[in-house]
Amino acid sequence: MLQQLSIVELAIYALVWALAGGIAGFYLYYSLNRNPRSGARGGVLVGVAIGILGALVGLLDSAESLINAMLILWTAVLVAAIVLPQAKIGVGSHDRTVTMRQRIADLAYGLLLPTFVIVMVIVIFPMLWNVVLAFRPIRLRDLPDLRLFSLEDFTLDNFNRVINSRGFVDTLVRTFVYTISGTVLAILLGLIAALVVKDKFPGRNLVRGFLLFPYIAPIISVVLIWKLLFNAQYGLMNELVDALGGRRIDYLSTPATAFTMVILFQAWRYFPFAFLFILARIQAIPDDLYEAAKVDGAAPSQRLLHITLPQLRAVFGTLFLLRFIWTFNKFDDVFLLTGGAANTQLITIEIYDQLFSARNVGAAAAVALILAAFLFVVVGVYFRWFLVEER
Amino acid sequence: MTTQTKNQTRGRTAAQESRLSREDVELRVGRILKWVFIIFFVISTAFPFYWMLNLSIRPIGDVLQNPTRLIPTGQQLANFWESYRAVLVDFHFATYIGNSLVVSLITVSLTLLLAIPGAYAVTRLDFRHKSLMSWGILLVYMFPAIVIGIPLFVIYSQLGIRGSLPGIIIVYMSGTLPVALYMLRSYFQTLPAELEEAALIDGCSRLSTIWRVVLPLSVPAVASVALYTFMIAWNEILFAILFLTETPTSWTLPLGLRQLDTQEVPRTYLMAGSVIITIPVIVLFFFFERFLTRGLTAGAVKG
Repeated sequence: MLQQLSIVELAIYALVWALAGGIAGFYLYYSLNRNPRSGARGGVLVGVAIGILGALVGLLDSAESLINAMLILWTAVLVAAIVLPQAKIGVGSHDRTVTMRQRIADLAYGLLLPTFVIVMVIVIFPMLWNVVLAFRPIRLRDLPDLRLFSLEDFTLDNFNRVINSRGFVDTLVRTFVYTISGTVLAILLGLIAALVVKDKFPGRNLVRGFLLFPYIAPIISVVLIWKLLFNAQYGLMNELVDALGGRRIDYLSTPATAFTMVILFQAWRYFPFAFLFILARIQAIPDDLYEAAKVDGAAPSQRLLHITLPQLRAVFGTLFLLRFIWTFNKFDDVFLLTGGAANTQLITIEIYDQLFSARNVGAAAAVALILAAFLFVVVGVYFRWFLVEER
Repeated sequence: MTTQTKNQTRGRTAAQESRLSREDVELRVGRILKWVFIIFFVISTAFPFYWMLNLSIRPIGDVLQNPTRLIPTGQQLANFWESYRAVLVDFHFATYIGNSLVVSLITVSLTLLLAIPGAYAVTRLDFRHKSLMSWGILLVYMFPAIVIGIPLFVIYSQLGIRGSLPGIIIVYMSGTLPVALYMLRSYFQTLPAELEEAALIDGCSRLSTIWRVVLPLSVPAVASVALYTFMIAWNEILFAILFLTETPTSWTLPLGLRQLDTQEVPRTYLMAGSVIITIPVIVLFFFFERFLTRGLTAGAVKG
């Protein structure tokens, strides 16, 4: 079938093909001759050839076959790049014109290539392409007959729609509150758990094992049990409250309590992660420090305050950063617990809602881009502050 | 004069006494606090799982009548298999278990196949952009899954592979590979390079050195990576929701369980499903706990 393609679209097709072919060609030549210069020459040659070919294919065929062809090409190159050098790697068959150092580097590239390709195709490319999607008016119903690389319908509508939608700012603020309080609580619980478990006592290993349960169990099953524990009809929490004369409510769907519950869940599920890190660091603090402090007359609380906690500062920094990033990105927990109802809507759930409730792919991509931008800024600020702190 | 010095010494001993007693008091309070917290932590982490087991055995009518029955009756215990049978047979959990096993085991094997040579390259071989590679691994690891979810959803729809298991295995691998590379790298760094050098001098090729020298030495690390990869793939639900919801034949266990969470399904069955999905993870964990806790901090496993 013949599609009408614009010049821009055609150029992008050609460029993508040339890039894909070029990298592939480079690897092929490189792995055959073990010489970057010959690899580059081969890459350019194959790249140009495949670029022209790709433009022609793009002119004649749909986007689907473009992707298919690219996958086939990459698989072929992957196989070739793994198999071909193997034939030469064995002892005694190496090319005398290349140095040992080069051959080792070749091998390293060869060994990392499959991982590199998967990460490129599944993480880096979608990440970049998400930016393009965010500026295009794409609905769910437009799939699967979509022109993947068109830039003609460039628009800011998605961002307008998203930012002006009701409650978007609230969602942003709530996401930050959720992330920071969840992170701090999880680290605090982890610290207490580590302090409590650090010294030997009967059953210590068992207790340590239990402490990791919330973290290793499948998210869906812990969510389901939380829902039942805090359920209005027969949840144990309500039996307790009832006995004390309180009112029965469903904690996860009442607006007054749901957000607190979601933060508590976050702390409960992820404190084991902080616990393990802090415990490992506490056990590495030299005993001399405590002995010296004891001789100087420092009480246990003073030893905790002036030795243990300062020694843990670096761990707190790392933990806060990691947990902040992961909590900020987290989708499943709150989505499964409340679905974003009862004042618990978060940015990640907004992405899902835009995709499946509003059926608006472009808007979903726009929210995702906003999320990534916020994350980038926050982590950047943190790193800057953190590095200054370290000096 | 003398009384003054006497008073001073008395004052000093009194101060010493009070300092000693502060130590004692704090130690005593600390010990009490410690046990209070241990009990608190054990109850709040282990009890929900016990309750899951409990609710999976008692019929919903009994749960409504006696919400606080901590130990099921003998008759309920004798009939415990009833709810599990219903879940496995009537709600197709057998299929989901099959899907989950296929997805997890293939993800584990492919991840190990790629990550072992990759981690070896990053630790032992010298090449340009090496540190860039390490940073790249770390970066990928931090990246929001939901953000790549949208473009992947579009691409997979376009290719028509959205509901397929191979499609989701590749996505899982993009998540497990960085973890595996990171954990294996930190382990390989602790191995002495001399052994490998000896093998190389004796005429082993690099690949057979990895196979014959590095792998046998790394059994604990490889085991913990395998288990973590398995857990990640087994527990994963975000991409399963995004990609597989429309094709019930490819549902994995977490997705199947989530679809079961509707008004019509008795909670007993829901809890039975939860137990089925949780047990393998907990059993694996207790068997390999020593490897796992070490691996967890070494690789900073994402969650």
